[in-house]
Amino acid sequence: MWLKKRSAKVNTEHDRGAVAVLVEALPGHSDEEVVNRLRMIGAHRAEVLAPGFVLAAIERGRIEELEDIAQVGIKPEKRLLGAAY
Amino acid sequence: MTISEPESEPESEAGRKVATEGGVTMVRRVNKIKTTFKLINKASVSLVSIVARKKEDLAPSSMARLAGFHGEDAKRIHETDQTSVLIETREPEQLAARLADLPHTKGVHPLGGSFVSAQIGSEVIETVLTDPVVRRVQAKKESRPHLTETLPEIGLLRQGARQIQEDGTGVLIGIVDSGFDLSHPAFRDANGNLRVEALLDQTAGNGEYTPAQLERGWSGHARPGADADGHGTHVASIAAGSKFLDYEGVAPGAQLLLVKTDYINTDDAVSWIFRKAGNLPCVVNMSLGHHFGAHDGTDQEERLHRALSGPGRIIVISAGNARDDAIHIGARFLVDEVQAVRFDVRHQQTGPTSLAFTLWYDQHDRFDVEVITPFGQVLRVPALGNSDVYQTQSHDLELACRRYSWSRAVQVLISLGFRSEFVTDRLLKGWQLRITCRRAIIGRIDGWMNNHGFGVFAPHPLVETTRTVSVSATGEACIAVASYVSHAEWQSDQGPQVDQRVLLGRSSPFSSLGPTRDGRWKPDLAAPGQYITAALADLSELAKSPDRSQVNDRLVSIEGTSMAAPVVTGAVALMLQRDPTLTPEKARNILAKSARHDGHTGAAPWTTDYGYGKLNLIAALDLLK
Repeated sequence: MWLKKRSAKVNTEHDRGAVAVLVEALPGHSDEEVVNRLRMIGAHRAEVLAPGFVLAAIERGRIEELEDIAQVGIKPEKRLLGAAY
Repeated sequence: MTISEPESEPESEAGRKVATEGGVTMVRRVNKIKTTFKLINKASVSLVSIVARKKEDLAPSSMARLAGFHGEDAKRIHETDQTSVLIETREPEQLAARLADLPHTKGVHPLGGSFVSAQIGSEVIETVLTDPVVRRVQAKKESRPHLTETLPEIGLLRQGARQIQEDGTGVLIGIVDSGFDLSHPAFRDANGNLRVEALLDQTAGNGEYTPAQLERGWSGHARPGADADGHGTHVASIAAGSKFLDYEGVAPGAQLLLVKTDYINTDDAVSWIFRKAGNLPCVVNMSLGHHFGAHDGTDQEERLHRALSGPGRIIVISAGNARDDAIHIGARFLVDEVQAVRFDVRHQQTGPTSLAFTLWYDQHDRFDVEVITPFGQVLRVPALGNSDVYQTQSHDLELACRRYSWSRAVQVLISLGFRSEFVTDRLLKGWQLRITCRRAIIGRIDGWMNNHGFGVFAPHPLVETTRTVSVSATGEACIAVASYVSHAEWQSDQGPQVDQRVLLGRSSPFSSLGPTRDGRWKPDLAAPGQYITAALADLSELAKSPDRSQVNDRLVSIEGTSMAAPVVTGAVALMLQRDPTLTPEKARNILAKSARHDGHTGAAPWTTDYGYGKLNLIAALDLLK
């Protein structure tokens, strides 16, 4: 039961599969540039939801290919808030 | 069955049998009086007929009760020749034509969708019930003086009458939730038309449906946006349900924009609703949340809400039910102070067993965070900008430390995933988190498990009930709603139910407490959220709870800040009808200024459990004049 370390950078491909993300362009970069980059790296979807916010679904392992122009947040799963849940 | 009559009622003893039980006079009526048979479903209606034929000397109220009528007042049950019914059918036109030819039947007209309205006599009840195209027959019940317990509570109803003209007409209400049972009469207007402008189903390839497509889909078997859970149907009917039996939503004149969510792309859902609303005023209800963010209003979706909302664009979110879930730790530390808190992971019966939590502290502070496994192995969270992944045959552990450009806080991420074949109690219980403060400018650290049900902190001074308002309710742009107890009793298929643990008027024991991590005042206000009776989705999970549901009446009574938020959403819709350019800031200020204070809330302008006080709708609307 002793855990063995496997070093990795943040946002590397230890967890494969597409993830839903919200992407925000870094200063000096535009939403359009982000959308183009997303398409280039094979995003399943890239759409500006509101100025400054681009919605996308991409392979988790490819997130770092965006990080020179944008900051990427992986969307967490929500839960219903009826107390019975 | 014996029925007690008021002593003051003048009535001859003739035709009455009087008995004494324990000093109390019990009176049974045997003379014939009029009875309205409450047609609950096919079985019960048949039972009424049988009872009526075979037991003519049985008290009429007893017949009705045997038939499944749950009304509490025996005196209100009267006999009439005909009963108004709402019939659900696959073939409304065809059925209407057949009904029109029946004797003892009048007022037959299709309402639109799959509904037909009629007045039918007891002689033809069985004919109607056995018609192959009839899906359900339900009596149109006489309204009680109070349509619901919720509307009087917020000042909307007094002595049975709405106190204002506004009913939400001209306003759109968006609901992001588990799905919607659009066969429910709560979603149709008086003419039987569906009150839904559009529906987006994120669980089925983002399928978008027009009203015509929804009508077609719900008159057949497709049922787009169907609600297997029951939560969304209940929530939507609280905010905007049409009058149905004794129940009505807060804004029954509003039109609906509905999103059956995939629980991930809720940002997309809100954006879609506002796009669809076009130039019409619109309020969105989100009775869902999570705890994965910084709880300081900087979460991406919270900032997106700020970008999407504005004049005529308002978002209402449940505060959360995490007060007593032991999923939050937080405290101010002194330099070199060390605290260790134990936590257990909960075995998930469905889906993978996992637990993620995040800790947050100001960028000017420095904390060392270590995880100690049940086997005593000590693993330290790496330096800022790095992550470490650990593995065994049975589980993985990720430790990461990062900062986002949009936040001044440092995030520590701890994520545990277990392979189900190896999950044992020994592996899940007895984990520890050890926190050491190295530099303290502000000195505060807060941590949340990603959601309730995945794990729990053991009792410890670090475990807090405050700062448990969920994300995105901690956002600046939204109106965050807490819950209080407005009702402790409800009807169910198992008979009357009562929760003796709760105190009327008191903050619901589950309702998340503020403030936010950065000390802002959330929740904004409290609304009735326990227990709320509203629409039940057919065949849903909630329908399987006989102590909560009234399946034949299509009602269910549940609690949660999920139920409190749509009360406020409906209220905001009424405010938007009065002022279509109302901004979120102005709406929040008005709701806060008009909020009601009582012995439970106390006189303080804001409290962690009630926010600025209890929703007082009429006073809020008065401030908009």
